[in-house]
Amino acid sequence: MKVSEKLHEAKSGDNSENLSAAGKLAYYPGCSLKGTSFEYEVSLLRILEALNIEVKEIPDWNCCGASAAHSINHNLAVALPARNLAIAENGGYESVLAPCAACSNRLKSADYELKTDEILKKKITDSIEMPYNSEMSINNMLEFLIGVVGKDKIKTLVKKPLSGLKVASYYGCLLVRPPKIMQFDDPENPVTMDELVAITGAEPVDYSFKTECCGAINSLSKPDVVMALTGNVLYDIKKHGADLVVVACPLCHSNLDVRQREIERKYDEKLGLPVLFITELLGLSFGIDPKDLAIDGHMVAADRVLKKIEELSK
Amino acid sequence: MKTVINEQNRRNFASQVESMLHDKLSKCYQCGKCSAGCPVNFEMDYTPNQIIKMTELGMEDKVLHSKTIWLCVSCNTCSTRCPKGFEVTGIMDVLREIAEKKGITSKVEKEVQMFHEVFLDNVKSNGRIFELELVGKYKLKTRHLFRDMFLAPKMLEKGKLKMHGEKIANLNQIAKIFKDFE
Amino acid sequence: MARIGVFVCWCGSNIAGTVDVEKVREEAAKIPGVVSALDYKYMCSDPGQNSLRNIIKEKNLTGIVLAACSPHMHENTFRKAAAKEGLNPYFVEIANIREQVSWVHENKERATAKAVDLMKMMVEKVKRDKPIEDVRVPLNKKALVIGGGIAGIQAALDIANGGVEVILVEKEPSIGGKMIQLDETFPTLDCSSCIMTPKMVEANQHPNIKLYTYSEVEDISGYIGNFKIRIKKKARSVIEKDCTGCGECWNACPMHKNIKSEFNVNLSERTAIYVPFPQAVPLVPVLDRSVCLHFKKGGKCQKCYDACGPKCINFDLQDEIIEETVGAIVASTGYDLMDTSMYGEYGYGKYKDVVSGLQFERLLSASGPTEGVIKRPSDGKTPQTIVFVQCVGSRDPEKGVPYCSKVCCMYTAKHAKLFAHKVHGSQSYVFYIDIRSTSKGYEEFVRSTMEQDGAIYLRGRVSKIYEDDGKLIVKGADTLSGNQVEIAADMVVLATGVIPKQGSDKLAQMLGISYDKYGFFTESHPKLRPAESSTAGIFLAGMAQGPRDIPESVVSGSAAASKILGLFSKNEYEVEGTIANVNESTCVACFYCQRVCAYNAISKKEIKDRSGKLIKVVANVNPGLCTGCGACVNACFSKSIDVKGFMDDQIYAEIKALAI
Repeated sequence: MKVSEKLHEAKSGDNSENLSAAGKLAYYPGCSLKGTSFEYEVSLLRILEALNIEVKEIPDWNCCGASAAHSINHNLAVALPARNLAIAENGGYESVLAPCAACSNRLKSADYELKTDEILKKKITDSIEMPYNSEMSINNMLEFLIGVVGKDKIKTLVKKPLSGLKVASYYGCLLVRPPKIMQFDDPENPVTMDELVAITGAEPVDYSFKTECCGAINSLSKPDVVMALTGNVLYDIKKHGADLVVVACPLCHSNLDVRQREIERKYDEKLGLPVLFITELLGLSFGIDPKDLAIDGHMVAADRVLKKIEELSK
Repeated sequence: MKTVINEQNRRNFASQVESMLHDKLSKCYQCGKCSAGCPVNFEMDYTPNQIIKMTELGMEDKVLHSKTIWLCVSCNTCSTRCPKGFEVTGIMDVLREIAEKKGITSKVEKEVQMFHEVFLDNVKSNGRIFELELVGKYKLKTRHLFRDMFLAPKMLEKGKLKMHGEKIANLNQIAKIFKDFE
Repeated sequence: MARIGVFVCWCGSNIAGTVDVEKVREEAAKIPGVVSALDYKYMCSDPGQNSLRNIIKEKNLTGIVLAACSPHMHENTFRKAAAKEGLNPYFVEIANIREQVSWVHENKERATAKAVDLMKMMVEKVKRDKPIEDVRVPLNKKALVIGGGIAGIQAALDIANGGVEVILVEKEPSIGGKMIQLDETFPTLDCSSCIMTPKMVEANQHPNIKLYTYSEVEDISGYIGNFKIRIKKKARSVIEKDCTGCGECWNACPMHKNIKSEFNVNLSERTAIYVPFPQAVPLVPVLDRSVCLHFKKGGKCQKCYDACGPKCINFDLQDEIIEETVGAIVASTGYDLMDTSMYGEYGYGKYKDVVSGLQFERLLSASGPTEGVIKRPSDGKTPQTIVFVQCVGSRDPEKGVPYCSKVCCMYTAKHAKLFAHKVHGSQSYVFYIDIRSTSKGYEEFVRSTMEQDGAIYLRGRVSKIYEDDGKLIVKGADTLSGNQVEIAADMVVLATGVIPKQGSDKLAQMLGISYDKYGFFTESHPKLRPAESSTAGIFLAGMAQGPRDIPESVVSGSAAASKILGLFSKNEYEVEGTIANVNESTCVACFYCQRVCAYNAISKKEIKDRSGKLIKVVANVNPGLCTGCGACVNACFSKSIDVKGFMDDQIYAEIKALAI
């Protein structure tokens, strides 16, 4: 059995209604979802509404420190996420949804360190002046959809199957690595996002660079490097015949979407690949208006794909 | 390319790294799988496995001034595939942190370092990231005023760049965390 | 009245350098009952032994203590010397003042004090020794060999040639093991089947060898000299004695698609009734009932039966159980290759042209699916560039095993060499971490693969393999030049590591032999008893013990055989008398001893009176199986078990000696 299969067996199931009704689902949006990746939050809240699931934003949450903190200050990299986790745990939440892959990665990493290093835990809880006992489950977007909401429940909402559409799922680094801490899907051949794509009726496209890095944080400081890495991913996706790409990470989205025009210019080859958040793709299959999903907020226009969806559904 | 090993310095540096890393340098048997899969290896001056060996040999100066530690994007490909389960990604964090604490600025890759610094400053003053301010300050600091500027109008049009940042209510708590650990 | 002699050995400077041997002698002389104390440079030497014997005679000693090296070294030497003077050999005790004192301590004063203590303890012990007789066990002079690969065949042939009957049991339809799957062998490039088939035929025709293929050992009980074996001979559905191996049946079989050939490692297909390969021994097909139409579709198809001239196909044949009694066993169950599909980054199983080392052997072999022409599985084209990746699964504690599989460096060099010989103008690249080529002619072989055959070696591992435009892109590192390297290859061969044969741990449990955490059988002593298992009468050979190559497997097969022939050269087997002994009058028959015994040495014994009425049930120790480990002594609630030579009063006396 593959790692991912095992994971599904263990985690799959619909527990969302109980948790949601009991107000136990905490939501950690993170900075990107309030800024450059606002489309992610808009579409997420829209599909949660359709799924009849209520999540509550962690009160007065702060930035997780992202890559900057762990890059130059290990204690900060644990303390900043720890404050958010402690607020949620002490608020009685049982589960945290962190849609941003970087945030969920940092929350999980901090939780792991606090669980395994007593000395560090003392130091951190002293600083944030709150107790923390690592009792919540922390979920990235895909884990939440598959593990908490459940595939069966999502299936019931698909009103407008996207059959005929070819979709490449791009996982990047932070969702699956390091596997020791993320404990999510197969780190080399992840399948969860492809499964969600299949639920929408679209055809998942297999390609070689699903988990190759897009350059992430170095987007501003090393744009050339990022364009080379992101270019590799995008051209590989293009070669495998996808109509569009789905992601579950604002950093990946920025690089694949915002930098796409530049990459086309730099390598002198057209891409024209709309990059959607997985929540947006699900929303489309639920029959939600693209505008309500903020799909027009992307830099690469999805018009052609949206038109194709309309034609296919006729 | 010659290094005279000073036993005391070698031990000091290697054990400092090991204690921060919670891992042993001797675990690495130099198979090179980290360097084979590193997405940014092509820009690095030393490959990841070389960095590990150089750290073990106590080549502190070269390691802390290397481009490699700042080019690493922490994608974790190396650690995930490492047959020995060595914290390859972790050692890059540790070396960056040591360099930062020693005030060593990378000559070549100072922009990456500056970005991290500006980023944390932004968190410190707002509790959250205010992207426009972050980008602005970073540009002022690196003097790359016009790089990426062509993206701005469209991003504004799409609503991606918010004109006002959010500050969290209990900024004093963030201030305390920074005070404790900076 | 005890008359004890103490002999303190210097062992040159080994002991005397750290222990004040004269002081030990002086202290010995002071102990009541010690009538003679002596120190000497080398007690184990002839003059040393002679003085020992003289003193036993002169002083009429009742026991002797040697303060010397470990009993593993010379206990036997001194026991024999004592026995020559009529002393029961178990009246010899050793105080180990070398391994336990001089070699592990530096401070002479304190080391001497410890040596004195150990000596005193042994003096008190020897005073309480009782005469012990060795146990003699009769021997059934017949051997069982489990596993018919090269190691097992070699063992069987050597034993049989020594005039002893052998039963050779093989799980697969044919003997030959992994070696018969190989193409040519390093470092001499002689063809594997050319040197293997004669041995297989010889084993089959040898008058002293009884061969059971497609058979498994189901149960083993008993002990050295007297093992009871149950063999399950699985139903072939073919009457062996009538079959001529003509091939009419498998040619007639309609099931010739979608059944992967195990022998060709899934690179070709076989029929439902089949011989694994044309040179199979015995050349008798097996009907695989799990895929046969006759069995799947209610008996309709019987094309093989119709085609068979001598009518030797019988769909009703049942598994047979064969029982045998043997005196000794060779466990040579061989190995499996690791499943490399766990390396998602290498794409084995996803990309057809990423193959394992054994699959490449089949592609090289003239009897293989491509008749020895190298063709890649995806489209049958001959590859021009092959990348070989070493240490796949080996030396990888995270995903595979931490050990080195030992044969991969050499077989990869051989693969690259044969590829160069078969495809002119081709290019191979080998990713390696270290090259291990330490046997005769091996280093030269690897060098010639590089120098004569042009293989390019890159020092580093591969991180990822993916497909792009019909090529396999191999992303690796060359750590010597400090470069990340990408090679576009037509085919990739993974040098897959070796693991023990599946189920070898179960067999080990059945045999009562120890195995390591991977499932490899452990030898009784890693250096000095490499052919013996931890259980008397069971010997080991081949890869079942750990990674090794063909010459080493042959050597180990012969070693096991010679041990068995040596054992069988006598009519009885002598077991040391220091075994567990049950006090039947106090035994309460709780049988906790039975539960803790790792050697199945304890059984229930009924004590009856003259009229045959049952008086009580007690524990009984089988001397053939007991090793004297003492686990039962600790488990016994009623204190009814002792190990001879290690009685409670002796142990207490030793402890008390420390307080004096």
